[in-house]
Amino acid sequence: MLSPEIAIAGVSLRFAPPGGEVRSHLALSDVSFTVKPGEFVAIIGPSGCGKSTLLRLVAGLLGVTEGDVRVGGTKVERVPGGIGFLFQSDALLPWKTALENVVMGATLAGRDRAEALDKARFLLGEIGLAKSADKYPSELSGGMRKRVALARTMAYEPRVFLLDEPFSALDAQTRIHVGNRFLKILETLGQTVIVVTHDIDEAIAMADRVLVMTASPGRIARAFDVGLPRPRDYYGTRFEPGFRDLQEGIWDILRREMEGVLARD
Amino acid sequence: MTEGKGEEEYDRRRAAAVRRKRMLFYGDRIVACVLPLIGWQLLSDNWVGGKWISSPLGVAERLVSMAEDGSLQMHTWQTLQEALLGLALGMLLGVVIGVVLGLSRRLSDAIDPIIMGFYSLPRVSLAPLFIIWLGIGLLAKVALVASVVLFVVLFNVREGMRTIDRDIIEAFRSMNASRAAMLRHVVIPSLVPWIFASVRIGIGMAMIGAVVAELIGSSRGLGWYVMRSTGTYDMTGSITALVVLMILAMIFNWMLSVVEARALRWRRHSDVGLGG
Ligand SMILES: Nc1ncnc2c1ncn2[C@@H]1O[C@H](COP(=O)(O)OP(=O)(O)O)[C@@H](O)[C@H]1O
Ligand SMILES: [Mg+2]
Repeated sequence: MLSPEIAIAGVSLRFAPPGGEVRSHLALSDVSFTVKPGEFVAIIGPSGCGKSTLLRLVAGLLGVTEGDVRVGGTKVERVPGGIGFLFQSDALLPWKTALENVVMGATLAGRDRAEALDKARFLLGEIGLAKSADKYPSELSGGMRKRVALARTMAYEPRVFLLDEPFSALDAQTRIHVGNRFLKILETLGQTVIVVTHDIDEAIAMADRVLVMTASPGRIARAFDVGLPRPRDYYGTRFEPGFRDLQEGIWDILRREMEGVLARD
Repeated sequence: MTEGKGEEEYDRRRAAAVRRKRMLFYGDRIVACVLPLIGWQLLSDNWVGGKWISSPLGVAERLVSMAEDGSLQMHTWQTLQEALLGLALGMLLGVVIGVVLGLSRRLSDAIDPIIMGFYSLPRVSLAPLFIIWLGIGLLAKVALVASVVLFVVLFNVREGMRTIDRDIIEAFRSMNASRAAMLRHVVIPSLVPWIFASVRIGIGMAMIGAVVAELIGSSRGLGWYVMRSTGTYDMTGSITALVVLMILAMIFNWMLSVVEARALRWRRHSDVGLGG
């Protein structure tokens, strides 16, 4: 058996605000799971349950309060190399063109200027934005910006992709289009991926395994294996046999968690 | 709408409209300049008397005669040097201190009272000190101008540091960007709009600083010329120097707008347009 690419063991995280008078907030409580190399995992859970926090722990942007996080067998204490983080906002540099933004990813991975430029041009072609290479982010649509952000992350050549609600800002049609492109590219790359989403269909359509989280403080409530064949289609997969059962199973847990949140408020 | 043809026609009409609007804009500006000048001349000739308010023609004559004997160039150059060197020094210090304070909340909190203290101090009152320390020449004026400009830049940059997009910072941190790469690609470019904003205010302050410093102690410069002229009831002389100061400020502002429009062209175009 392959050793896991990502191993989360007994992780808790408490946000302790600076001024001591404010109460600290337990965001994650005893989270454990592993992700195999090349596995595509989706994490789904009620808003505020700590999904983004979990990704930031894996990326080394935050430190755990308890437990440990390992990437490639090494305990995460600082930012580990080889992690590509795609944020909920596209986080592009507004003063750089699409091309230069993608070049940034390659440069930070240690490529020289000529290599980085070649790579960036190639990747912009891959995501269908060759024509928009010299546009600034403010001149691109939301879906185009998302694709540029993916290209930048790809230019960094990470072993692990962390995607935080990558399509939540897109309208329904753009979402299907961009989602399909992302899915094709990530399937081809075959790298380890964790995608956070609050969309059940999206989670099932993209992932090999769906982890459902409880309401805050977040824990893993249950894991669902998605046995559907690849390559998949972002939208079409929902018509495959077996999809509805997964949908129902996940919805059942989520509904209970959300009811809990509503009852508490 | 018939495709192609209709589109062309639309674009043509729009281009014409834009041209018309621009002509109108320049027309307005010229009228806005010329009308007050005519008013001033009439006022001077018929009611108040050139002895008190001089006149546009008197000022024009003086400009020519000063340019001929070289005093215009000499005084302008002096004031220009003071203002520009002081502005540059103040900007440099302001940006560096602002970035450092933006990086360290603790340091910023610790020295905030001191900064506010110096800021509230009328910098003009430092002028005699600077003159004693640095002499009556260029240096004292540069120091005064820098001390005036410094704070605007510092406050702007510190505020800019606090509003840098957190996701961009995290994205770069997650890609293991070095501190230097972070400064170069994220921090400094984020500050550019804030720095432009402070230069815009700083230009005016630099001119004020330079002139005030000259009023307090100097032997040349436009501020000195204003003072000397008023001392001899030479209104034409003092107004001429003021007009030159005004023109300098206008030129700087215009140059700044051009540079800014280029440097910030990544912003949505409507942000840097001429406006209606
Ligand atoms: N830097 C922070 N400081 C304090 N609390 C935070 C911070 N970041 C997130 N939280 C809190 O932790 C909880 C989980 O946040 P997050 O991981 O963003 O949730 P999700 O992504 O699942 O919606 C929320 O209640 C949020 O308010
Ligand atoms: Mg989130």
